[in-house]
Amino acid sequence: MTFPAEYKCLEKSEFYQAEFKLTPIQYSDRIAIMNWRNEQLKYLRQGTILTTDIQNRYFREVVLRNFGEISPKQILFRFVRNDRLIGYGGLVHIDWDNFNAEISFLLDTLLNQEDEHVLLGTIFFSLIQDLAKSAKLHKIYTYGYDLDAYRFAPLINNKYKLEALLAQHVKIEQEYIAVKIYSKII
Amino acid sequence: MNVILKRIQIEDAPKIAVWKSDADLSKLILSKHSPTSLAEARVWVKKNSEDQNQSLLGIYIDGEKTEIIGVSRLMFIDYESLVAEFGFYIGEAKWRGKGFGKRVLRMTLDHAFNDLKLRKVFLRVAHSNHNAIKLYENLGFVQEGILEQHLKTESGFADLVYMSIFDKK
Repeated sequence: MTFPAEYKCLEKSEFYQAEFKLTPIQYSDRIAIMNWRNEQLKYLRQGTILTTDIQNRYFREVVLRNFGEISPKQILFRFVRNDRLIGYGGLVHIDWDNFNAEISFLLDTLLNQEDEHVLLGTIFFSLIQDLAKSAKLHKIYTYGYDLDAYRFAPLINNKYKLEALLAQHVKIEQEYIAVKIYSKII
Repeated sequence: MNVILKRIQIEDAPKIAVWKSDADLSKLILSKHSPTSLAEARVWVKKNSEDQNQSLLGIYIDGEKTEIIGVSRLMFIDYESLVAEFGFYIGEAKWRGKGFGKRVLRMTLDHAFNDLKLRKVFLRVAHSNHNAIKLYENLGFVQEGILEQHLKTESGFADLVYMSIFDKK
């Protein structure tokens, strides 16, 4: 199965910076993404392990539909370096009435050591701003668990602002962890 | 006059339809204005009543007859983290500003902490809604953040405040 190369809701669907690119997610990305999500479960609002069946169905029924909608709830992209898939993400919970969206971002588990995460994350969050501008949004934000301080460095590097700290908001591995909301006005 | 919180019934759908169609009320509660038919309201009541991650309650007053005047909800209930989002409105304009908000809030928090055994309740409110923020603060909610320019208004963008309260037990 091949997904479209463009999202109907965007003026353009490809974003570049040096050897890095954000381009619309493809069906062929689904298994790698499933594995990364299952390996990094504690950072995600995903309660259970994904199976191939669930992931296949999700991509065919939910992800594909977003390409043709004028106001989709989410638009997902593959994050590549020299044409090699290294992560994925995009805009989710898109609120077209209030012109804002949450950013989703996940790297290949093997690239998640601190230095690489900060380097690649900084580039991703810069590209996402270009994407949000193309969607004519006013504001983008992230909703992240306060687990590892370095995971917020890409946001700080891109001058996102910490707007909320929700104390003891989520239980992860038997501990109550805060949620941090970082935002940027486009 | 007694205030009662109890599960909303399908028979309350006509009022729900009126309130969801009220453009001024929608602005007040930060909800998208969505004119709603009676049939759509019935579907809404059924769907939200059956949602396992929600406690959907009607606000009733017990005068000459029992009358529904609004809705109180605990939404997106996370039974692992024991957290839920709170929202409420007094749909009948004549009953606003009469002190029912405080009573509804106390009763809903009691339901959250003692019936559902939650640990934390949070809410989001427009920064410009000073009366509501004062009500929440008086009952022990604290601000956890302000999302700037998060809501589109007729004159630009407005801020949204996150507030929360923990069970003191």
